[in-house]
Amino acid sequence: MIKGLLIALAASFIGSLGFAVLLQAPKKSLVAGAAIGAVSYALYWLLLYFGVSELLAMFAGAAVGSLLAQYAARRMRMIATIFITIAIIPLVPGLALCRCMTYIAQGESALGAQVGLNAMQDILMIALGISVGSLGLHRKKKTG
Amino acid sequence: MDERACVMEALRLAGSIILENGGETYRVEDTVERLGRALGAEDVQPFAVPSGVFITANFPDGSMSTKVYRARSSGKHLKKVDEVNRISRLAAEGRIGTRETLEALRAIKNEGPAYRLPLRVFANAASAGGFTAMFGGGWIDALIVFLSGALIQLALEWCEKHNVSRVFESAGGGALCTLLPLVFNRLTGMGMIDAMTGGLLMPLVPGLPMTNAVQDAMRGDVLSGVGHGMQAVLTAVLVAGGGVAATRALWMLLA
Repeated sequence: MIKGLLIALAASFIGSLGFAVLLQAPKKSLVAGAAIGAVSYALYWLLLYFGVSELLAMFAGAAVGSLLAQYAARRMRMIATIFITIAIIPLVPGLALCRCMTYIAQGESALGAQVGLNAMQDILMIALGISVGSLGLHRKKKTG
Repeated sequence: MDERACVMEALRLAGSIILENGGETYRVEDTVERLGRALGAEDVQPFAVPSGVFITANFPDGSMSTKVYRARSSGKHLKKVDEVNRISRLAAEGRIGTRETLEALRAIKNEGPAYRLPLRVFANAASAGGFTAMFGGGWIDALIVFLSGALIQLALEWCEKHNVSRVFESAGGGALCTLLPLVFNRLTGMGMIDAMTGGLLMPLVPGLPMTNAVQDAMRGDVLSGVGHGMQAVLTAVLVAGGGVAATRALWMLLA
């Protein structure tokens, strides 16, 4: 389990870091954003490992990621969007959306619909998680 | 340019930069309103959708100005969004005036890429390798994906430079991301195709736009949500279509 967790942490950190460069995020935000991404993905991975349902794990990962992102944004005086975007990259089910289309293109409509529906559920959970996580610090927000 | 024209131009620039570089529509409206009031307008009414910004400002002398901006390009340059936000904050604190704000916004608009080409290529390679490991791929998978990722980023950068349409870029990218792991697997018999394709596809697949679309809709920006959502679905169709077509073509060649 420790090995799996370490791989999940390191792999999602490198993945988000590279992605953040592609999104042209400010230099100062890169490492912090990627670290938040790694923590939220590791949390998701751990919850799945202990048998928590996929949707709840997604929600928890996104909520914690969003909370940390808000905190980092406040500390570094940057917009939260940057950190939230980088942080949820490892969680978003973009691949599932594509698989859904692939199945449909291959004539496996039922399978495609199922994968697509699961992806939409995950996306809804992430969006909810982000909103809930943002609530935590919202009132203290100053500008932008 | 008189003072009022300067204010309107600054508002248009601020809104368009945020909109065209990956900022949310609510952030466009929020920033334009805040900046407008900081620069001396009395009441600012901005309206932003993914394809444009409309701004009407009322000034204390009773006059009124409107600007309409049609957004055509859309990319991701979060640094620019952050810088506009910083300028708007400085203006709100009264530390810079209208002319300085306009100058600063013009400078941001003309800024080039935040990172150089070699770094971007390396970033895509590393990111793809990392995600492959995250999806359960081993060392060899990650290494091959690292090399393929560099190649794909070079191809995408070429498309960008030569103004190749987004449609072709997505479909071609999807095809490359599917083909490279498949060919590697055919040649060596090694590699987890699923994890490799998944890692390579991460920057192309519209997971983030889809999540942003849902967030837009949840915030009440239904129009933006639908617009962004449609874009995301279309991208998914193109990337997947490119992949499926490439796989079919490969099988036909081998058969």
